[in-house]
Amino acid sequence: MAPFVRSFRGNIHRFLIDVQILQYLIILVGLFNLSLCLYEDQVGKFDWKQNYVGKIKFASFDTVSAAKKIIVATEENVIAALNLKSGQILWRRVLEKGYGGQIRALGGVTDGDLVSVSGGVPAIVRAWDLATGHILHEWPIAEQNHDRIKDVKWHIKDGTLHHILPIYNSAVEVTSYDSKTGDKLKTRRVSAPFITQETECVLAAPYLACLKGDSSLAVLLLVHLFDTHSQPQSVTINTIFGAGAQGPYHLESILGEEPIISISADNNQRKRILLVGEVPVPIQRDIVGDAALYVVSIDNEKILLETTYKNGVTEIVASELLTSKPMPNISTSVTHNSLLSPTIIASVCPRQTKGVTCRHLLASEDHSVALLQHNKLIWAREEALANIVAVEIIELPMSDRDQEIETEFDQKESIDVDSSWDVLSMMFRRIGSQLKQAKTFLQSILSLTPQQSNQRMDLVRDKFGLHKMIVLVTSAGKLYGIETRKGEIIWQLRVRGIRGFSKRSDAIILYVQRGSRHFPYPPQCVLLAEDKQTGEGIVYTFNPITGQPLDGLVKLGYRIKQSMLLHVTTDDFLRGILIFDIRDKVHVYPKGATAIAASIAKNTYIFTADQTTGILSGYSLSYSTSQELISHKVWELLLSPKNQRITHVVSKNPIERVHSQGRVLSDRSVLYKYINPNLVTIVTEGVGHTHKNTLNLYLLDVVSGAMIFSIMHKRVRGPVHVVHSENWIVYSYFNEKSRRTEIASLELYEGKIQSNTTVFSSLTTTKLPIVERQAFIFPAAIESMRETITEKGITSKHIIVALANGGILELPWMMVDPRRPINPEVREEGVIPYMPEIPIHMDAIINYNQSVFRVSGIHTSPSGLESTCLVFVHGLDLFYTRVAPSKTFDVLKEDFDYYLIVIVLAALLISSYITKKLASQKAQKQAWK
Amino acid sequence: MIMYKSAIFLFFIIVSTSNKYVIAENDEDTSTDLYVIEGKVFPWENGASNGWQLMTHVMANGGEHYGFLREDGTFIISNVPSGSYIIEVVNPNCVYEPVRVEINSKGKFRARKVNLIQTSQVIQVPYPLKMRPLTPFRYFQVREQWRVTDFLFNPMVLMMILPLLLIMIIPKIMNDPETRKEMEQLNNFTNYNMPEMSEVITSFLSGGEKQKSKAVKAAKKRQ
Amino acid sequence: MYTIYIFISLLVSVSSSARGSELDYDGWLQLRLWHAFNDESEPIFVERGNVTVSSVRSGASVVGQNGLLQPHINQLKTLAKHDGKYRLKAVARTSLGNEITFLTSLPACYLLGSDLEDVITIWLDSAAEPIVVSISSPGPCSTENPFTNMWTTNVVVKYPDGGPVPDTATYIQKLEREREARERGEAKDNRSFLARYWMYIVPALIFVVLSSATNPEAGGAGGSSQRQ
Repeated sequence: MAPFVRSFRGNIHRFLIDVQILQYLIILVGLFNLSLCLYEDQVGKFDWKQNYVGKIKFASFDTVSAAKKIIVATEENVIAALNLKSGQILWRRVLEKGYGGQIRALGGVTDGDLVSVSGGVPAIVRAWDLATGHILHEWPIAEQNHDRIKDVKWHIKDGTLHHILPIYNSAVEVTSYDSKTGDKLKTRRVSAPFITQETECVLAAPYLACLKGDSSLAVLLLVHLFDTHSQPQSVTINTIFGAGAQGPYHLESILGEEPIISISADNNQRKRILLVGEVPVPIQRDIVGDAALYVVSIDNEKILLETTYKNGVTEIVASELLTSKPMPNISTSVTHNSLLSPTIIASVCPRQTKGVTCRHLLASEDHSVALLQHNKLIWAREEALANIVAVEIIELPMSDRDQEIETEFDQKESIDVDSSWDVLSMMFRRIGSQLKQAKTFLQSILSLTPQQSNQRMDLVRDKFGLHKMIVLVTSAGKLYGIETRKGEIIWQLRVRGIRGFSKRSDAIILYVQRGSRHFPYPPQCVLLAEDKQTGEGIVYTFNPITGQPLDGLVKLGYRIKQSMLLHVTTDDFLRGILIFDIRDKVHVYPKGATAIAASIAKNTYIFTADQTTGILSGYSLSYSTSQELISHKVWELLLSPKNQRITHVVSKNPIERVHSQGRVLSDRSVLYKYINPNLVTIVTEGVGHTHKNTLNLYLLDVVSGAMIFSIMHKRVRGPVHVVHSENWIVYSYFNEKSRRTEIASLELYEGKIQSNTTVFSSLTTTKLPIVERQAFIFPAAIESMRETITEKGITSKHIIVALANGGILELPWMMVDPRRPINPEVREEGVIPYMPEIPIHMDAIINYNQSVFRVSGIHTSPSGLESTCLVFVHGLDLFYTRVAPSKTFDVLKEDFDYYLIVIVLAALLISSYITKKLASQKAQKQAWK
Repeated sequence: MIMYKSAIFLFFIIVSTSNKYVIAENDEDTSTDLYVIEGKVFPWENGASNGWQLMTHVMANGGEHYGFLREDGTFIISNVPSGSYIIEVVNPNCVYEPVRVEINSKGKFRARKVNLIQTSQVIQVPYPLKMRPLTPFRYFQVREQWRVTDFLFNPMVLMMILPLLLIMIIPKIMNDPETRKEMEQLNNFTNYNMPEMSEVITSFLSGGEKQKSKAVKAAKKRQ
Repeated sequence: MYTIYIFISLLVSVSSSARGSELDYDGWLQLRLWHAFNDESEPIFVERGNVTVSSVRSGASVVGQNGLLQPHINQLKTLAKHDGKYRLKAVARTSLGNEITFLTSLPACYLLGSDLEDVITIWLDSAAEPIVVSISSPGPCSTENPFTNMWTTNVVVKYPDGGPVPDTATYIQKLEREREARERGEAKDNRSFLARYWMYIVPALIFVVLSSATNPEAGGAGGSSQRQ
């Protein structure tokens, strides 16, 4: 019996260990169940993807291949083929990011092959298959002069690549390569002693045209590149313009197959054309300065196309180049919404049976590209969307019927929030709003003011708040409204003459001043940017649902340093914005909100960070009066630019809410989170020889100016991506020493006691938090990171990670929890044991095989459902989906088995009846016994 | 899974002990020579869909350098200075194992498996690279299908049905005097003759078939 | 009295920086302090004293400052009444000869509430250069006269912690241990099927036996369901 008992005990022990493992398993399984896994039949149900190529740099019609198409190369380092009929992408090759993939030349399409020159030093020459987009050949060009790559001109013709480099004060060096094999064919030096660093030269193959001299006495010199014995020809400006032309002159090569250049004079008021050849032929005709020129040949006859844009009308005037005889059958004029000061970048005019029909590829100033055939716009692509700088996701307005019901509740809520409302004003408000409602109702009945035509019936809020409007701001200054269901562009808006803040890497700031919950007030968004000419700030307000401008473009007359959205609203539910100019003066937009802003000025602080000087300062507005806001500096610190360069300043999402204030430990005590809304993460990279490859991360309280924590990594480098939320910071970097991407996470706790249970104050809390930290290996390169956000913050947080391989990973925060125990004996609820490497699970890739490349940002937004978070990924492609980090606990699963529950219920009902009958029968039998 | 890992681990150790190479921790950028990494990517199965080369590209160090596939799957990554590179194949449909390629300042190439945890371990793989797909990506969960058997063997259902059976049947048996006697006998049997239980079991197992048929008959009789 | 303060400041600073030294450099640091009590947006700074940190690594420091004069205390009180901020300007001079100006502030009432006790925290970056000088006071908030006109100043020198690195060593060890354990386990665990799983089989059998003994029919049903 004894051995039996012993073995029994052993087994019990073993069983307990098994239970442990089982627990882990349950946690793990639970975890991966938690991550959103898609079913195959849900593909495209709530996600969509759009592909773009970017702003066109080079384009060419492929008329050689069987399938006609357009080959484009773009500023985003993309080479793509577009369908001629629809504009869809046939194939697309994304080259290296940034400088390393910059496309310098594209050519050879007319000869049936496609050669691109891209990258820095040395440049890479790639030959592509026109039809399929495969690479055929690739070879690097050995460059002697490393720093002069931008002066190099490229010419691709007949399978030969010419590398043309002007050598100052001596000659032009032309090196020819076989574009397929990379064999050096010939090197020539054509004497051109007049070329200096200031000389403006353009390529008009086979000539190089250079403008020499100052604005009064300019001479045009033409060098034949393939004839070493020829002498440079010179043409004086006077022979082109005649007498009386004023400088400065500007030289431009005209697109098209012919060697033709244009010279502009009189401050770009007019320009003239010069045909380059053995005998240069100037055309004695003035062309308006802002006309875009293109030369196309029809039946060996050169036709000049002048494109002008005025008041929304694009006019293309064709004329014979030599005779200037107008050709009205080719000239067109078109009015279309997606054209804005377009230029022809490629054109073909084949002769068909009906006559000549021209196809022009037009690239607009706002980055959009369109195909014009005869005088009809065949298609247009909104390529501005490949470069998005600001995103907001906005709730759609309610349907009219819902609005009537909801308005009252909304107002009551706002009254609750602000208890200073008295009964009388409440009543007035009520009556006022009802009058307004009645008015709009009457108006709609009598149709006095017709309903806004671009307001569509389906653009209303749904039950769960999943259908929203994405407002996008692009670097081209074009705004878009995209609905989330299908990704359809609802409206587009151009704001001309703006650019991003040059000090903040061309960021444009977008604020939502009023959401769509305040019927009858329209929702309002505001855009903050810089004026293109003066660099002073501009404000632009618009309705984010309809895309209508509200106040139009307002020039502020000062440069913007910092801005902030107030959390209080004016009477009409408009949240003002505080704008801080470079002279430390505070402005409020709109002006009417000054009094409201002044009322909270006592507790309002602004901080600024200057990347060039490394100075961070904090300002208080406590000396403000109700007429004017006055700032005074309360703290200042210096991250010396000698040692480090500020790369990231990351604050928390202002709409974030933290549901749970603490964390339950294994001994049932609570560890309170350090939730400081004023905490800002500042990341700097070391500069100089000794501090190179160090990464510093500082946590700064921007109200008190106190440093909370700082950490330093040695031998690591960027790209750094930071996520800052609740009481944690997760950041990724590349470890130079171990040569891998790592994710570090910090978590801040107050300790076992909470300093203030009601509200956090930066000024009263002096105790530094406990900082938990851990690092993990991440087996992929990261392009961007963002945390999920939900309405109430109950749902657990996941981190959306855009990977370099095109996947979008949903990474549970639990995986990067710094409290993951290294010792497996120490266990806490919901904490998985530490593993150095974070696994990437295939089913956590939320965009499945819809790879998105060159991700520049991820925007997350809460939906009406607590469980669900909307995710919008932008970059070269746009991708939208929704994720449920804790599964959809608040709605029935969409595959919920309604039949099963009906069957079970029915069966139970029936069986209860039957048993009742049986029981009564039995009782009857019993009675008979 | 764990066993599989440990096997690999063992293999690692064996290889690493037999390896003489020491990895240069940080290659000095003294030479400005640029190299070309070559390799070939194989599609998943031979009947790969047309245009897989177009969907695929090769990426060094997370996008610092790109290589594009020729029609036959070969690729080159040009303009690479000496150093260490993780070469990944980017394809939305198949998983490829990444390879680390190291080029020393003399231009010597070495390809090895990527081990991010133990960075000093070296398992060499042939160079020029041969990238074969490991498995197709499985992005989706399989939807559960409703089946009768699943329903019946659901623990909840079993829990409901078994007591129901016991409740309905046991009183019937108890009414039968013969079985009651048998039951008592069995109770005595199980209570006092514990060690011989195996016998009971064997007898039960061997006589199971018979008993069953009997049981069926008995049930018929009762009805 | 004065020396005691210095002593305290020494103690505090030494204890605070004893942990996780990541600083490669050592040097001294001198802070000259100016403060402003005026209740206006433009500060009017008057000299307060100076702090000398003789070694940034150990954090040992000497504080030299005069007590507050009565008019200053009165000004501080009015400032506290208006919920204003006491501002402190610190000009730091490092051993490398750099001069950096910092500004920091705190609500004036905290200084009064803590009887002029404050903590000056100096944060250094990885190059041992000061990046932040901040003042804090434990409080509580009060607008009463302080007990003393002497400062009780603690100086804390802080510098960045070293960043975490993935703990691969433990993991590798763990894997190795697991492997060893399994090897041992595999060697030992060659008992028969019954010997290994008796604890699952026996209850099942008991159940089967019991049910079959009570009623062959029920037993059959139970058995079949179990098998499947």
